[in-house]
Amino acid sequence: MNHALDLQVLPVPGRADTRVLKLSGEFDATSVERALEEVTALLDAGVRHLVVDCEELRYVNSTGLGVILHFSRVARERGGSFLLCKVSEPVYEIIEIIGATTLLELHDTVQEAIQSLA
Amino acid sequence: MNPSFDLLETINLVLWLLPLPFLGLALSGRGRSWWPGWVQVGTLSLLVFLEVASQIGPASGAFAWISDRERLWNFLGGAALQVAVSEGSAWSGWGYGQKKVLAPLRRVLAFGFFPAAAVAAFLWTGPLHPIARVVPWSILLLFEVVAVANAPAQWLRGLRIASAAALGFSLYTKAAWLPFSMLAAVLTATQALSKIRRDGTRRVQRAREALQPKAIQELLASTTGPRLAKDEDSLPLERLDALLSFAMQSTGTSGGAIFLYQEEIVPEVGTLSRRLLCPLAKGQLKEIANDPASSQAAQVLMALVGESDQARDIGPGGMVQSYALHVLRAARLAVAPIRSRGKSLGIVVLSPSDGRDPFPVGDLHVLDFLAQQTVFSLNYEAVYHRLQEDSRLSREFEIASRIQRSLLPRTMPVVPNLAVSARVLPAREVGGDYYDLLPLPDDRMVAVIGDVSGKGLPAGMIMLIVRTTLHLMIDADPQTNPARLVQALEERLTPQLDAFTFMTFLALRWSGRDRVITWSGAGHEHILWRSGQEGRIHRIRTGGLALGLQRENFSPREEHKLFLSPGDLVVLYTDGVTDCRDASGTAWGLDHLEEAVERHHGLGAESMVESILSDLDKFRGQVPPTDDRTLVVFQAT
Repeated sequence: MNHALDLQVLPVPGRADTRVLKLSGEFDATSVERALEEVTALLDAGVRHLVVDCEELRYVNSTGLGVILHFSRVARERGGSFLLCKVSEPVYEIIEIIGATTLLELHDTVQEAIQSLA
Repeated sequence: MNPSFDLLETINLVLWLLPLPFLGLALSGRGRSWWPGWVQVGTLSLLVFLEVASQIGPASGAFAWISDRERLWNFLGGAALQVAVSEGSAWSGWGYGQKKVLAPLRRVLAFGFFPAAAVAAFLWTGPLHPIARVVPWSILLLFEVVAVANAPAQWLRGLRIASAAALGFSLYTKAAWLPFSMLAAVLTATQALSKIRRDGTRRVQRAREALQPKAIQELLASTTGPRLAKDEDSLPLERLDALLSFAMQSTGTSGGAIFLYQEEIVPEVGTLSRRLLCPLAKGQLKEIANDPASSQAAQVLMALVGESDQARDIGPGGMVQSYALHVLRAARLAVAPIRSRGKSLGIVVLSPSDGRDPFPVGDLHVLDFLAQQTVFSLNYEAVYHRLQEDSRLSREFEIASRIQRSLLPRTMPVVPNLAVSARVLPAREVGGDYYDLLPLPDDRMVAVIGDVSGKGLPAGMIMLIVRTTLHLMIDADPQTNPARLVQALEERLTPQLDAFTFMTFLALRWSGRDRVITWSGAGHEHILWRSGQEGRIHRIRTGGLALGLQRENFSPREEHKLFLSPGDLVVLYTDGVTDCRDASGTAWGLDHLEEAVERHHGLGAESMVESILSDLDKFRGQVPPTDDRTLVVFQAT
């Protein structure tokens, strides 16, 4: 059973300032450092919009969620966005419990999220 | 000697043996300052008893054996032991706060007078009238009782004078020894009086000079030119600041300070010296030992609350202590000592705004609380730093979680119509789980549960801040409602949280009279309500945004109500319970929790908590838990 978080960064054709970030596995305290490093590096390299594909993200705990909320805040402060797509039922449940559904932009598909950037 | 009077024999023996172990401890420097006092109370009680007993029937019956000669020996023996105990305690420095050993002549005057007077009276005038012996000893006995009860010094000296006068008068009845007895009485009285003048007046005078309200105001207001101590890093300044601000806010005071002792080795002397460090409300740490005016005022403040060597010189129940209340009232200051395991750490001071009444009782409660929380903060920080140094992580977690556990309620409150039970199972790592149960007047109780995201010591510190804030808010306004609590907590907690941290929180208030739970949620896990009538469990969303997600523009919180019929159950939990994994990596889940609640619903609140957690343990097997698991159960009765 692999508990680790896997991060994959994919380019978006025609959009230099956007990346798709594919998360798989489980996002908890053990993966926070790495996620912070990679995403901060992306944002510092001039990426404004991050579309996060959560289809294979099985579980997020409160520590992981704290980091996701932080990214969302930072991206917005820099005039960009941090969009979550294909969030699974258990992950959505956690977001809903802490009341963060209004703080995060959630989309059904990656395509829809990219289109929403216009 | 008649062998059948075992009682008196035994008393006689005890009288002689009682002080010996104490004397040994006194001379070896190990002992408690109240021991010699009680030993003397014991000795003198026996002496008085023997004297009275011997007068009941000197020539017949049970007490006939006590001849005058034996009485003399009892008399002298008891007196000699008294002297020995007093002397021993004076030598070792723990008798009645006397730090210095008295000069030989003064020692004789102080402790030798009564035995000498007794011997003189007996040898030169024959046996005294019974009253002549019983009365002075009785007054002296009263003196000791009052002394160990920590009475003001003037009482003690008054009693010493009275006992001298009584002995003088009794000797005076044997007219031949009038000059001796009068001289002795005058000597003792003069000695006591001069001591009052020297110790009391001089120190009171010093306190009065140093404690001008103006000096204190200046001390509290001065933040210029901070000279930082070498290891100021080890002080949790921000948290002390926050604590102080809460306390000032809650009491509406305009000034406040936390003074801390700083112990350090002075190389040339090789001993510990104490400096005063004063982190002021503005967050600057100032060393005030080199600033004569501030230092003096702070020293005297410490002396007034009995937290300095100066105070120990004055002795327990000294005049300065009683004067202290007067001075503090005049200066309109409230002062409380910061003590941890018998060690003085410093003091906390609050001074009220102009034109406001000095402190009502509630405010003093807040002050005590501030002192207590300061200790927690300091201990926590001390542990954190020590362990950072040797980086033994498992030990760090163990100690920190022990501190954390000590902050949780130790006993379940008794409230009308509700059985309450709660338990936290800490994970190996320190978690951020927090619950609290605070009984209120009018059959009410506030219960809270929360979970700080992230773990380790930072989460533990957040929990500490939340606990402090919550207790202060409820102390300040016991009538407050859950929505106001959550909003106020959000306002105060959010600035303390780093960018990644938030806290789910749920505040409930139980009103025992109308059986209603009022709650306000901040993104916490569901409330499970098992209706006894329907026989099924409802998941109730707590609603609200977790604390820390909104960084500003806090909006008022929603409040909801739930009526509980007898037999209804309410279960609160943290995600450590539902997220707990077994060996295959599967989480226990809310469904399993509900099943366990259903299975054990008839057991009563306390056994339910145990049974559900033990079910969880069985599920988990050998997999170590990664998060705290908290469970709170209410059962309406």
